[in-house]
Amino acid sequence: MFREVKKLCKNKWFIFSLIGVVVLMILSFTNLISRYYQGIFTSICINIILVTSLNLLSGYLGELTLGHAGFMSIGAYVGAYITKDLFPFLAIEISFWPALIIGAIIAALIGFVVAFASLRLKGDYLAIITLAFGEIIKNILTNLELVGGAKGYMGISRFVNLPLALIIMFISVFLIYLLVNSQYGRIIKAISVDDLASNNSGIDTKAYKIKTFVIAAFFAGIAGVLYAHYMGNLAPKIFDYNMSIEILVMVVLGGMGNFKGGIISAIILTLLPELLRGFADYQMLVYALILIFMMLFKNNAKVNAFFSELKLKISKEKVHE
Amino acid sequence: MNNILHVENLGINFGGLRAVDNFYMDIYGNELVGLIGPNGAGKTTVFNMLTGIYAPSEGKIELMGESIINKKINDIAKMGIARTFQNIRLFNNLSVVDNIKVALNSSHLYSLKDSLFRTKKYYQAEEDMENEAMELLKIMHLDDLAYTLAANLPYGKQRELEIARALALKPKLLLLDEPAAGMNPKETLELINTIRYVQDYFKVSILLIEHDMNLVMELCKRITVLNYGMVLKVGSPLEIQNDEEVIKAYLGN
Ligand SMILES: Nc1ncnc2c1ncn2[C@@H]1O[C@H](COP(=O)(O)OP(=O)(O)OP(=O)(O)O)[C@@H](O)[C@H]1O
Ligand SMILES: [Mg+2]
Repeated sequence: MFREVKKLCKNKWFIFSLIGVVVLMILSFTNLISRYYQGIFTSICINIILVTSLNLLSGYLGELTLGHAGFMSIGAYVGAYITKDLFPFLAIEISFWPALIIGAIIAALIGFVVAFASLRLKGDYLAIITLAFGEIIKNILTNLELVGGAKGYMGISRFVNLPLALIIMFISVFLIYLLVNSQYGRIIKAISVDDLASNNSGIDTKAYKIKTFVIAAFFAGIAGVLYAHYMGNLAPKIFDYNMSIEILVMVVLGGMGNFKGGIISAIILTLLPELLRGFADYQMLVYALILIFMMLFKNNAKVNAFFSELKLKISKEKVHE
Repeated sequence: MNNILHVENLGINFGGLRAVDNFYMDIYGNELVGLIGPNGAGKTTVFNMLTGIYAPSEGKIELMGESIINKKINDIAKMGIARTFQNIRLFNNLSVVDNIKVALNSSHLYSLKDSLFRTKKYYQAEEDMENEAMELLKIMHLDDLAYTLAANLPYGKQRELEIARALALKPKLLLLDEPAAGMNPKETLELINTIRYVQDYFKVSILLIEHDMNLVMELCKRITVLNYGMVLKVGSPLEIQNDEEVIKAYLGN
């Protein structure tokens, strides 16, 4: 572990983001940034977790899925239910942590079920099935009076502030980074370009697909628990397919399977609607255009090879530094 | 002699099409055997059945006495049947050395937990894989290209990387599907040497499909000729070259 941190300390991107996190923490502890901006940065943290985890599934493994908001909502509702209704007598400082873990685990379990049910599907079919899954979850939540139903789930403790969100984001991203930069990452990248050749190289490709769904759903669940305890209330309709598409757009814009790119595009696309008042009106239109443009680009073998080679060159230079 | 592969009465239907019928074959230790025949004869289909991609309609396939019928593709690969593809199928988004490391996975397993906590086992496995992959690349004269993207290799090198990746599985039987396809004469000559070297060095049995008769006659000790999904003739290169039926069905003139 220390060897890995040592290696990362030579990475300017890692140092850069570490400084960013520390500065933001100091600023919010000393109340030097307004509540409004603290809110925006908290949203950015949540979106970074969502994008990085979806990147595993849709970027590295190359499985187009539109159900990430569904996994997130499971984490959000399970986490909120635990702190609000299951252990109302416990201080939130205590009950938040089991809520965080259990919310994520339940989301991961559902991820396992979805993965198992959709193993044979690829491409558009998988996108449609995961889209349907997200809508089913939304409808179940709408009819579940236990958690407020259509009226929404109110009065959740607003325990999450910017420093907490920063820490949990940083740990989540770091864990996913460790996974991507290991044999697991190598294998899901291989599966994304050639399922059969991976299978023929002794790789149990189905197991890797299930694993990736489970991990991605786990971290979406983490993001959900954070979201619930940051907002203080939940409504099923927030977690609709528009949200899944938004996360996917961030992944695609960052360059599918590009770790830094995903994080940067999460930051930019969260800031944009906040900074440009008018942007929100055109948001979905812009997203649709981005998606179409990137998909056209992504399917061009020459463009692809050029970018991959560039990435490899850059990473090699780092090794030699 | 030790029997590596035993195939008996193998057949497969695609809808109404009888693609392979009553196919049989035996391969012994460290042998190099050829599988030839006209386009569409069913050669690649035989490979696909030997590697578990297609489930045969009937018949026996045994690797060192153990049946591989109904086994999963990845398990057959681990049991010892590795292959290359007629249309090269590399992991184009990975470097040359990472292509090998993917195939080294089953012999250097470590868990997600090891990745997350960067345990000793993680570092050990990664180091072993790097060393083993580089060693293999050196043997295949690909070591100076180790960190190039597989997609950017010249054609001939891509074919050799695919063979190297198959060898990373430490197979008992190596299946090569038209390894010389698309190669120029110089690359083909290099390939002949490589295949011979691989056979000697790795003590592996090789079954190869090829339309380049020079290569086949040069390398193979025995040849099976397939025609319309059925075995037309089995014999030495000399016997095959002079067989009336084979000349009529495939070799011509
Ligand atoms: N998945 C499939 N579904 C239907 N038909 C198939 C399938 N795979 C192969 N075939 C048919 O089986 C026959 C044998 O094909 P195969 O690819 O094995 O030929 P081959 O001997 O490898 O030819 P070539 O020298 O051109 O590679 C062909 O008629 C082909 O169309
Ligand atoms: Mg063929």
